[in-house]
Amino acid sequence: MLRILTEHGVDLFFLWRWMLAVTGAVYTATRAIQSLSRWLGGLDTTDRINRIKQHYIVIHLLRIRLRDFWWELCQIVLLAGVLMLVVRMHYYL
Amino acid sequence: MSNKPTLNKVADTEARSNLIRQANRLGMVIREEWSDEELTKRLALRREQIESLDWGGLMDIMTWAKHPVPTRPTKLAVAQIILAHKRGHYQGLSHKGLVCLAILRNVKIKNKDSARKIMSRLRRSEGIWGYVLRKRDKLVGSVLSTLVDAEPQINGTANQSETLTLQEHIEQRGLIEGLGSGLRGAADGYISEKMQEIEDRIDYKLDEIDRRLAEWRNRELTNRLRMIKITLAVSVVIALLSLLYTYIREQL
Repeated sequence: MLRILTEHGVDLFFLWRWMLAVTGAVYTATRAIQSLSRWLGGLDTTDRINRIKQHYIVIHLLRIRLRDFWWELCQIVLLAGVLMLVVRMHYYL
Repeated sequence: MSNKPTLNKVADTEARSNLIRQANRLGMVIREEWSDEELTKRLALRREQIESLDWGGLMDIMTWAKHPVPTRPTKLAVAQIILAHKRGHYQGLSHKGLVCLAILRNVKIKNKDSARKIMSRLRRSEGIWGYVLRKRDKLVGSVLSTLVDAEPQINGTANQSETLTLQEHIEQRGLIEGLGSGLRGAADGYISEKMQEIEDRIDYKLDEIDRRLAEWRNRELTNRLRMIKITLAVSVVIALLSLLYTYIREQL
């Protein structure tokens, strides 16, 4: 099977990478949409309690101070930069 | 048929007693010979007289009597409160207040009368019996406040009436009413103090919940960022492996 694929010019690593990317993207998108719809569905009512909850959540979101997470954010930016660089390096080989 | 005159008589009696009650509340001196019409006419005149009183003078009396002003004060309501007040010494009351008090207590004064003169007239209007009763209340109040509580009543709010001592309550309202009023003041003070405590506890709990929620939010956010970081790190490692693989393949 492996030999057949190799003979037909199919790159296994490329295939695995492509499958992983597709699976990961689909899984992440599905979970994100599910979570978002659950939050919006829970809060999208006209009753008073849920409106108070909505306001409270908005207040809590506004109270977030990014400087409390500066180290994590810096690491994320750095890793994203490295990833882009490594991906870009594929074209120079 | 025979019931009608009796019913009319009852209705007349009720109407008259209602008029008399109103007149008493407004501090009027009622004469037996006055008919209902006469009484109604004099009540209207009395109301007009009260409405014409100086508002500042009435407020001076309320301050002097240490009585809280009603939430929606009208001259009639304030006058009724003042008329229920029995305080006998008038030190500290302004001239305007003394004039209003004299009018409310039906004491005849002249325009040129000084404050001292009005005070003297007010005291004289009490009569000997009134004087004796006032002194008795003062003595009883003094004895009771020494035995029970010499300090002002518990005050949970900034209400002026609650700073009255038990002696002052008894002096102003008589023994039973004064004791009742004093106890009511103490109970009100206690309740408002407890309410304040409960409010403080609720505020503290709400602050605590808010603080914990903020902590939870920060922790949750940190976890999510860490997950992104781990995902990116793994992606970089995979990308490096891929780069290595591509390099080896190109070399071969």
